[in-house]
Amino acid sequence: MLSDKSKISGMQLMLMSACFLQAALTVIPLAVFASGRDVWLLLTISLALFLPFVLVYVKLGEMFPQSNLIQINEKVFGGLLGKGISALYLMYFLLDYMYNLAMPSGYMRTHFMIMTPEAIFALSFMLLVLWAAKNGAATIARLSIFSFSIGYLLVVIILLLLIEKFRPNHFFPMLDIPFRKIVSTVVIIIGKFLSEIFIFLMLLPRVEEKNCVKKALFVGVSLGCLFNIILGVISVGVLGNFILVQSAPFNVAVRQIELMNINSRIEILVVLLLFFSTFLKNSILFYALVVGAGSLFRLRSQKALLITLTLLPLSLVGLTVSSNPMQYQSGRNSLVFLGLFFHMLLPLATLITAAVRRSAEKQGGDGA
Amino acid sequence: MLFLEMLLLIGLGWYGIREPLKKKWKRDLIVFIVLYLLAASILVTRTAGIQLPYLMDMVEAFVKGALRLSID
Repeated sequence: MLSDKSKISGMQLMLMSACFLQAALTVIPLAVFASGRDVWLLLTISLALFLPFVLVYVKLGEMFPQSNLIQINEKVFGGLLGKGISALYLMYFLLDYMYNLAMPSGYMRTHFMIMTPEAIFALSFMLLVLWAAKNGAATIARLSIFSFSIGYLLVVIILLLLIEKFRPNHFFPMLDIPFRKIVSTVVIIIGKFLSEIFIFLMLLPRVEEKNCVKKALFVGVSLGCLFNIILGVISVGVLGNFILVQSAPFNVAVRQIELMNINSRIEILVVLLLFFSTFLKNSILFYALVVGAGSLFRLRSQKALLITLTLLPLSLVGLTVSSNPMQYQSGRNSLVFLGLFFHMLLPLATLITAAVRRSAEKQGGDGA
Repeated sequence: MLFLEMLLLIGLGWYGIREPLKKKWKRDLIVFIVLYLLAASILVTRTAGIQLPYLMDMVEAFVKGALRLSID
């Protein structure tokens, strides 16, 4: 992985970015708190507002085609400050990885295997993620086509099974909430969810066709967000105003499925969705963490880094959040601000600084 | 559980330190030892029954403090 020379195509980048956002299954519980039944509409508005910002990541990738985010920081901000900012980024990657790891392991422990220690699920999941990331970006990219297809297939199946439970009146009246709640929901969606796509700055050097990056990211982000819009529509269409009192509205909506009065509780579909999508997201996060640490410290040994970066999250399992509702509360209260800082403010500052430095160097060169 | 944990720590520690030690990669060795000791100390502390604070609680406290500072 530290000497990963594998290449990914534009199509694979698009699918990876779509899968990455498909895995954001906490976005609806986070956003529904303030937005209620307008969650799907505010997801759409947030997507429209965020898409132009993707150009910041694309432009950074174009200015430094062979460098990942950690290397870009050193080139732009210099040795000491660049390393400091990169170290902050690595701590954030670890935090994000832990937060996303808590989702599947916490869910399995809470809903299915209550007596089993969370560390067992976390370790099994981490070993899978380790295997995927160890084999390089191309392996993760090849898995993305399955994750993307399975995700959309499951959602279509759920939609068809729930169509009889849909009530169009659940969607009205629209945007009947105070303006500040609309703004706070849009900020949560962009800050915690959509802008997480910045992690692909660690993978852009692996992309073979550099001229496809803009289109791939735009389409990938749109498809990933569309997936969550569909989940929002399903949740609101089935639950209506009940969505406000649910910590996991999509789960509750899926529980309404009845197949010929024989099978109910088809949340296994949700579990499959959760595992396929979070597996890919965690693989990308872990890959970014290992490559970032390798770049920052200029390491040569991949094995040693893989062991320590698996051991560290394993030691922190069960210490991320105290409970599932607390996970959503942390996401709303603190991770949004961290997200805005790391996902948007810092990359924008990096781009502006890089552009100013380049223009100053060019002027200096012309003058000479 | 403690025995298995110690076995895992010692085994992984030995497996990870072999390569940088053999090839005398100083930087790799230092980073490995620091991260390994951090992970091992957290694991041993938790096994000893000492309750450590939740990560998200610390992050929330940090963000609230930072926001309050910036407003003030």
